[in-house]
Amino acid sequence: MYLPEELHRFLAEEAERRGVSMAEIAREAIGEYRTRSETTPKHNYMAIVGIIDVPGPPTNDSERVDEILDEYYKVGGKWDQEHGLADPD
Amino acid sequence: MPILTDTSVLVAAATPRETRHRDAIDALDRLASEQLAVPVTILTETLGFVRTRYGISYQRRLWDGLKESGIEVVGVDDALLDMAREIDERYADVGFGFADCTLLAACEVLRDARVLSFDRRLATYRPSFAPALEVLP
Repeated sequence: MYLPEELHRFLAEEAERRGVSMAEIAREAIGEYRTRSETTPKHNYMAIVGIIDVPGPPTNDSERVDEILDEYYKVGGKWDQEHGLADPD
Repeated sequence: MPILTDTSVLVAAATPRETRHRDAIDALDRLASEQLAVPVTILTETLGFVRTRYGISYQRRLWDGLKESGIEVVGVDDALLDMAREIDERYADVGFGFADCTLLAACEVLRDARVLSFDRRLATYRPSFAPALEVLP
């Protein structure tokens, strides 16, 4: 396997300093990398996927959040109606 | 550095009937190894939105899902609120609104130039610490 000169030199010096082979240093580094990636906390972003499983036609609410909230909270809107604040007329 | 996320992606991912549902899942899947974060204001907007649209039981379900997801919550203090208001004034013509302004202020505080959102308006924001804001996906 070809290694860049700088990396090869680093491995050779490290191997000589520790009295082990370059292959041993590489194995050690790979082992450390695997351990680290195994202990890295895994996220579970899929935990939110599909939670709002309300049937119905397709919606594009996610692109109209501000608009839908404005409509809901406007004077005389649904929030007012649900809380008895809407004008009975 | 976390990727700050807004309401649009969270709602789309949670709701199968949303037209951007698949896009949201793909984005979350692609970013599985990255830390996602939401300012507490965006969390409030998201859960408030779900309550107004689908009721409190779905709000609770999404609340639990968000807790389980490992998405970090970024706190909002006085300094961040002041910065958000400045952004709101500077970009008054765009009309980001309160929650998005706090998201952008969080970008400034964290010096984080990546956000996850379907709202392309966010790309008009020019961070003080980077040439542009990268709006994913």
